[in-house]
Amino acid sequence: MTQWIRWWGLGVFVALVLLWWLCIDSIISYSIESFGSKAVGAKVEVASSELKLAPLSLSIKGLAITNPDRPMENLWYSDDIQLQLDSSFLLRRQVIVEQANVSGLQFNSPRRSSGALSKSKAKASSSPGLGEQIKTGAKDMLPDPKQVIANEKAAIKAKVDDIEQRIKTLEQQWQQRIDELPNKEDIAAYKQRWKALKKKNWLEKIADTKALQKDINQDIDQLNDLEKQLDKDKAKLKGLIQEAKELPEKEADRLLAKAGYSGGSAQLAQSLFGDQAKQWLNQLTGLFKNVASSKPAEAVKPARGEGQWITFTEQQPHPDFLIKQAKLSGNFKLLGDSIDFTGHAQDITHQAKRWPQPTRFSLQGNSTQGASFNSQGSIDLRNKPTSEMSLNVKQLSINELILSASDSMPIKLNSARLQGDAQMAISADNLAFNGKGLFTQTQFKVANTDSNSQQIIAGLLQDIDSFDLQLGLKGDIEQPELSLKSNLDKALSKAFGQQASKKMDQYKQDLRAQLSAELAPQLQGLTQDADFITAIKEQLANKQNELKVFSKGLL
Amino acid sequence: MLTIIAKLLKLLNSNVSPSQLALAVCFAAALGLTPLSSPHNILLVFLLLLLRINLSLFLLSWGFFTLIAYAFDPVSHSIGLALLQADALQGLWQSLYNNNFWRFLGFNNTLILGSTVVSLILAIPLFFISRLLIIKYRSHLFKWVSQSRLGLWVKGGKIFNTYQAFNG
Repeated sequence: MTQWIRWWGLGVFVALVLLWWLCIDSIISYSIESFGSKAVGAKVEVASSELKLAPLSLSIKGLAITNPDRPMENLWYSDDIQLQLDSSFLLRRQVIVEQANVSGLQFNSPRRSSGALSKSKAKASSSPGLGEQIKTGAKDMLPDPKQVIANEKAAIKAKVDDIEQRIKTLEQQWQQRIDELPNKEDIAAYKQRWKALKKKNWLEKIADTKALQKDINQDIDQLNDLEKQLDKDKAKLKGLIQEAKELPEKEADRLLAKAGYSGGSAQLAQSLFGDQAKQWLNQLTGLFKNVASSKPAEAVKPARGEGQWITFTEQQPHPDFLIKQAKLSGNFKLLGDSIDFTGHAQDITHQAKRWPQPTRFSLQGNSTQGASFNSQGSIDLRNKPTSEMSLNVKQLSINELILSASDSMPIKLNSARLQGDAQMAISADNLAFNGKGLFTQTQFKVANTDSNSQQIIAGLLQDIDSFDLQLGLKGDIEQPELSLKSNLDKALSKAFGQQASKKMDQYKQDLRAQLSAELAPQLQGLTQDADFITAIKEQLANKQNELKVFSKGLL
Repeated sequence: MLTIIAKLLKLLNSNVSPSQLALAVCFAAALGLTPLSSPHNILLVFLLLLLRINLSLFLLSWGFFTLIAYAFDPVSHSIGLALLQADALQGLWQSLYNNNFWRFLGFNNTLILGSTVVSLILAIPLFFISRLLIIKYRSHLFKWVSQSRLGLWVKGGKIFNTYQAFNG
């Protein structure tokens, strides 16, 4: 038997196990970095990690998760994470964390180097929004109306086609009704009946004449009803033609609204601060949005050499990764103020459907400037994904907040105090965010320029010491529609709106003229199509006369 | 390629027991056909090092079976999937799924299960066929190969000499 045993092989095996144990911390760090980077789509880095066996726990230091959309920013950074692991579940390849302590947590913190995995292609520079154009005051930066119309040609054509189709349907309906009306053969039959009954005795003559009179009267009544219907349809047709005529005007408004300008100076604050507001909201809600949005799992063909994991019913169902309880503490920057926070989270998992509880979190914080912060939320991605988050800030000290990053007119809120609250809800692919804030003790900073309009704005903002702001996001989670309302609008409108409106009105006129020229042939065709109603009216009148004349002859 | 053939001939021509050589082929098949990170491979490596299994032939065969496995993966996956979805076996899988040891082994992975089953089915015939072939080779072909040009080249070659020196 001993001739089959290779004792030095046993030694090698023990040495291999020891080597594995010595390298386990590095293996764990490498695994977190490689799997994490693959999952996030940006660099995930770990400074060090340490595994302890009794009790089984893992410590991860310096975990940095890059924001894939902004590679120079960390979505998450934590100094230290202590995880108490359940060893029996670990054997089952399930990472179940009974208690996690996360300290030194920071959201949206800057990175020293880019965390992009590979050189991402530079985004194609989109044409500046109209808000930007108002700010710069450059007319030639407005998109060419011809180009705008060319881009929207299909949508505009669909609208004209719809009107055309509705007119054609009306015409077809009337053609059908006309076909069903008494024709020459029917009138000839009436005449034949009249001739035949003349030869009968007087009793039969009276009865048959009454019957004939009744039939003719029914036809006349039908014609009268149709005449009334014709009047209604004529009005309807008139409406359709009017709709077609107003199409260039309405389309011009729609295209302007699509480009970010809807209704003149009333939304000037949105035009001026909208782009920046989107960035604040991204900063404020980015992590929650990323975590709470539920993307339906795509059926992925197992990679070669990896196979597919099949699950069965468990006596104690658990997801592959779960943090039952987590204590959090850290610091984050909110609109320029630095908030130290503590909080806790429960039931964190990426496989929500395999765990009966939704993820819940609660954070509270204060700043040295006297601000307070509160946030609660739940992320429920089980059967009907619904996630909610609310936050409330009091006396938040705002410093150096950029309201407009435009090179030609940078506007900064040098300092202010903010009191406000916000709610955010995500269900399936939809997002709804509502936030209200009151800024007090405001001090604006607007760069000195030669532009008349910018000087007006600068002067106006210097006199404002408080304003309110309502921010909203609604719609598709990837491209929600921003709404921004502020009482700054009234003041800005007075000072600046007129000037901006003139520019926009001129642009709108150009756009409308182009649209009218583009649509002219089709609209002309529509008017001709609508002429059928005159012919129908004539046909109805002729038939009515013919029957009335014949009916009078019976009397 | 010639180096590999030379090594193989050297092993076949040596005094190593045919069973040890055949076992090396079997272990190579088990380790090469199943995913390397499968937990049961820890046991295989342990046995491979502990038992007097010829490591040179194991390494040669392992490379060969790893190549085979790459081509054979989709078949192994299909076999594993069919087994894990078989109605008659649901009770068995259910009970194994609720056991820590079996979950650790990753039996519920289609590729691990499929390739393990394939390698287990192949192992026994592979052992006897390899052993038989080695014995047949030594009794019938050994002299002819030793006197062939290839055999003489192998004997006179640098690799053979180095190998002989290494093995004493």
